Amino acid sequence: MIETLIAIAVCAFSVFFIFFIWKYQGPISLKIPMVSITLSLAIFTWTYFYSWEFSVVYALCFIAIISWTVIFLKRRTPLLKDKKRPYLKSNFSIYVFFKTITLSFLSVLFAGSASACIALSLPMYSDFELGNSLVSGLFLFLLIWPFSIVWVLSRANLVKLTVVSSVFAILSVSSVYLGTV
Amino acid sequence: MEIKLNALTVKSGLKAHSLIGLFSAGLLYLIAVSGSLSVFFEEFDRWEQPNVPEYKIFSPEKMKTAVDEYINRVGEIPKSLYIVLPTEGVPRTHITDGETEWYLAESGEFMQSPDVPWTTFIRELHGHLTLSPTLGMSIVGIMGVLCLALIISGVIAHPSIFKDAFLWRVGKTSRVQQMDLHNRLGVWGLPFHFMIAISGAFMGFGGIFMAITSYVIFSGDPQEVVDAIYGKDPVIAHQTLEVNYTQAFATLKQRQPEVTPIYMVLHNAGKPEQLLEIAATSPGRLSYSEIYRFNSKGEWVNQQGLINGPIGGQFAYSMYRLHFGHYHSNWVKLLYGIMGIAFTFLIVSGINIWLARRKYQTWVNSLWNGWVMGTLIAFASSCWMRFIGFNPETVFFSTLGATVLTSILGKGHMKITNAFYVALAINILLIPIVHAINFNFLALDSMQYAIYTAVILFGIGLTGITYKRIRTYR
Repeated sequence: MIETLIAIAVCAFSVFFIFFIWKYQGPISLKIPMVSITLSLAIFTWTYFYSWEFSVVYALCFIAIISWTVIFLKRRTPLLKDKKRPYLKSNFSIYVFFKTITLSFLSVLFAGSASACIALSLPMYSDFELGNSLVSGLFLFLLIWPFSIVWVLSRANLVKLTVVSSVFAILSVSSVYLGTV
Repeated sequence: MEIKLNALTVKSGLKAHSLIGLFSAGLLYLIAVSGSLSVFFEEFDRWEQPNVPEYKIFSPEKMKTAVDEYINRVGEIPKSLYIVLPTEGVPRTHITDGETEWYLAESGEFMQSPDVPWTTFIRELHGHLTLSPTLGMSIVGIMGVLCLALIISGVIAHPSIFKDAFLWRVGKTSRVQQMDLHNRLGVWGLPFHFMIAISGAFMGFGGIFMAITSYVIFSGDPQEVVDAIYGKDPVIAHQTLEVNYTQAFATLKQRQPEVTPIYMVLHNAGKPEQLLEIAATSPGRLSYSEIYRFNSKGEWVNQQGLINGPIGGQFAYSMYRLHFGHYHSNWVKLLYGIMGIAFTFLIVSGINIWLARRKYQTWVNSLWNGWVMGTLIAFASSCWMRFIGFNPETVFFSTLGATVLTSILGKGHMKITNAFYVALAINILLIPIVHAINFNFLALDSMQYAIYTAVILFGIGLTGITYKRIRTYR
């Protein structure tokens, strides 16, 4: 119990120290290492008392929760009333709706299949132990896919999206096929 | 102080963030609320069916009788038969082959079958949206990926991430307030949200990935992928048919004194190649368990290597506990519960910002309002109505549908929202009342009292908020 209390106290100290770094008018090149060191201190304290597998989660969760004491204390009041907004019947456009849905589906689908092919090629070409390659392939897939979704959607050009993703998918499928033969 | 990012990059990031958010928010919200509740599924299991004997140790001497009685009851020998042992989270023992299940008394006597439809519904809703497991898990997996995409685009769209680290302007319009709440919850909880999203996506896509990989790399059998990651089962032959459970547990205690057995499984019972496995948690490890193998005489065969084998297998086998917070102590669940609620707020505030940016309101505002409030009302009503014999799934989806329709078709946005608050408060307060009446005020231990207290306090708090709200927005 005492270990947990000490570790929580270190997390609290980290949050308040980050707050002071945040208030300090200095260059970001100095602030970022200081924040990193402070966060590492909290993680190391938890690791000192518990297994490292747990401590990273503990440290980051407690910091996330404790930070709200500072955020709450620093909140700005009082609440002003919102302007009343008119309630319109609807400006629903079936074209815009389907365009958005199609774009989102396509980006998820294309980006997903291309990412899966890239990720699957890892176990084929790597010299790692197969089980490790498969798991890292799946993780790689789960990291590439969201990045590609963001990349595609931030451009939101259906033609460009289709062309780029198709080329990407064909290249990846070919590489997977070549890897199997 | 701001991290310099190209204005176009920020704008594109924001655009992607909005698109992905709008595309996924409804389902993500459902998954987040059911996920926050699922963290406590062990406690809900016990609370929903309180009249089951609880104890800390189930003696291995009772296992043979239990296995024989199980085979006698089912009328056939199952391929794999599990006895799930009492743990700190669930101090109950049950025996199952995956289809039929009974609780066991400390004496080994067969008790009632599990009857926890509400908890099962929550788990199924979170795991596969109550659809078929393959389809549902894929959709939930995609939601996990979209959540990761939201995190990435959110960071890109937020160049003043450090500058605004402690900013919460409640003194401005509700849009600014929601925006600050959204950004602070998102930034400070980022590592947690990332961890939950990637572990969720991993579990959601695990099955599909195995199926695809088995065709691309192996001969089409997903078991080959499982074997490649977790290792193959040993082949044992020419054994005595009598299984010595006591010896197996004694051998485990002698070889690995620090581990805690959580279940035992007997494969190919009654056949010469039968294999006894004991799964046990290891202190300080996130891995769901290590599996120790024994022959019929209870002699050591090997261990699967889930805590000391290839790193890929260890990593994959740790995802479940990492995702649900079922490790170390029960306090971790509370931590996960709080972070889960924060994640839920993050989703709601995200859409609220998008809605508040518009200069007008439409049925979309009502739809979102109905969905958010309706989900909560539906969870609460399905919980207490389960105790008077209703199917939780039917109640949940009917209630959700009714609230969404009421919200869209009804007149007077404020009045409807107030009515939702009243309905939620009443349904929350009905949960402990109906539960207590149903089980003759039977409360077994501190955990049961803790659930009663939490629900009652939440109900009272909500009643207060509702009263204040009705007075303000009459």
